[in-house]
Amino acid sequence: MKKFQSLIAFSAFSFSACSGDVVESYRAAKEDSPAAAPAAPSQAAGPRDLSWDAPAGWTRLPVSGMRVASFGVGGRAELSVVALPGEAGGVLANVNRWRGQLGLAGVDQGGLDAQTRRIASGAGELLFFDIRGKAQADGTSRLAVAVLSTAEQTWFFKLAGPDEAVARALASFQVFLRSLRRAG
Amino acid sequence: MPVRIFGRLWRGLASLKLTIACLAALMALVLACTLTQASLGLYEAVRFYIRSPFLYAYFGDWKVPLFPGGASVGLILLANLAAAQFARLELSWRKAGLWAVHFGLVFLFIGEYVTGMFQVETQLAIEEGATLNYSEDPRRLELAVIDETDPGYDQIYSIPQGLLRPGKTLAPPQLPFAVRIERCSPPVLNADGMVAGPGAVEIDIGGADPVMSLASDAQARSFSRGKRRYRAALRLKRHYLPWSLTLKDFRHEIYPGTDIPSHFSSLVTLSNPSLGERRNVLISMNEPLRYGGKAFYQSSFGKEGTLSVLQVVENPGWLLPYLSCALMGLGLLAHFLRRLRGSVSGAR
Repeated sequence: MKKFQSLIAFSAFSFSACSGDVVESYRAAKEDSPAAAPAAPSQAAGPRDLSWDAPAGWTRLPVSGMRVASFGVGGRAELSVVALPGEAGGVLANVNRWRGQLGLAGVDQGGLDAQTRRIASGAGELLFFDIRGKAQADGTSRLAVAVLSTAEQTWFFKLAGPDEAVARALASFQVFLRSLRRAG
Repeated sequence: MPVRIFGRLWRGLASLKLTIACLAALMALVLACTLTQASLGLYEAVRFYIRSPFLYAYFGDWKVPLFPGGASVGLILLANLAAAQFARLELSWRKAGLWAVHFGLVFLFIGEYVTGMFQVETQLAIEEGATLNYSEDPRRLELAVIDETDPGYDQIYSIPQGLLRPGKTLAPPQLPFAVRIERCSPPVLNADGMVAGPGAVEIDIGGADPVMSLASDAQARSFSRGKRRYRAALRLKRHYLPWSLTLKDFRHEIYPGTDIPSHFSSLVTLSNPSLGERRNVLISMNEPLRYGGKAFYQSSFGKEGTLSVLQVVENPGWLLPYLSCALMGLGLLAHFLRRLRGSVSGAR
């Protein structure tokens, strides 16, 4: 009897915690609001660390996620500006990722050096890559990307779109890159 | 007389015959679950055979239990184990190892019950560069009525799919107005019980607003009620997080010469403003992110490698299997060492 009483005491927990269907009410951050986006730490360089001159005819587009700025260029090409902390994986890895997106094989450091161009700007030297590959579902077949490395961040300026649209936008893109400078 | 009946029940509950019967039933259930997995899908097979109290057959409108399910057999086996332990095992330090082993086994059973009753599995599908502060249940829809009047936040009223029945009027105190379900068609589910095709619902919220048709693969509908602005959407049920994840980079590698993926990983930035926390985390196939009582596993990907899908698991009993194994291991070791010492002493 004593052992049974101990067993009852030991096994006294309930299986009745079933969650039924109930209406719930709660607050949430607005979608695409600063509360839903990561808060920039005070010690890191913020997006306003760079400024630029957008050429005439470029259309400012809404930004989301990690994009600092976004422009429509010539109708079918789009420029995105992204700033990531640190080396952001390194230039070689990122170039191979973009090449992979266009159905191209990766390159080694030697191959990367062979296709690297350098563009001077008021914010420093940018590494420039012009990648042409297979057309994707959205029509993108060419990426012109400039990478700027600062002490705390790596900036990516990526012009994407069909081959001919990117070709037409290249000149204004390079004017934009040369206009980069430190803010303040 | 009651004492005699009670004694018989107690001996029956602690009997070895009951143990063997339960183990045989479990073997049959596991075999049936394994064989039907191909046709039912893993999720449905486990839910039907292992996690349910009974296996039912339907005769017209009659639902008849035919065989105990895994939940019932497990409960009886747990009671049998505990009764046998208290009935036969001496309560002494000499048997401490065996007590630990039995308690470890009990925790294993309890862990499975806690998992079956309380585990919540959702998915977080996020594109590169995007930030999300919610995960979604891939098996359930919700009718979300969102009050977006306040510029600082959205007030969300979530009506679960289980409450969407034609002709039903929902007027819980949380809702600012009543919602009548005019028509409802549930979503198409795949073999794993996941939403594979859209669901739809027609709702009437009264006033001057007409009946609204909502579909889970369509945009939300906006409307006003007085000075307040709302959106209504039929969507996968969301579980909001007090923090957010940003996908910085997704990588996947394939075995050379094949299309078989060999490695997935997502580099994410975890941001928790309330704690002032912001850090990068690499989530890969065997290295989940454990944060805020949830585990984020790399599950799959899409959109040619720019969309990462994370499996989000919340299980309050996730430690119980580890505790169980530790108890059983230590108990066996303690009992073995005691017996070994006894044998050595006897040999001398």
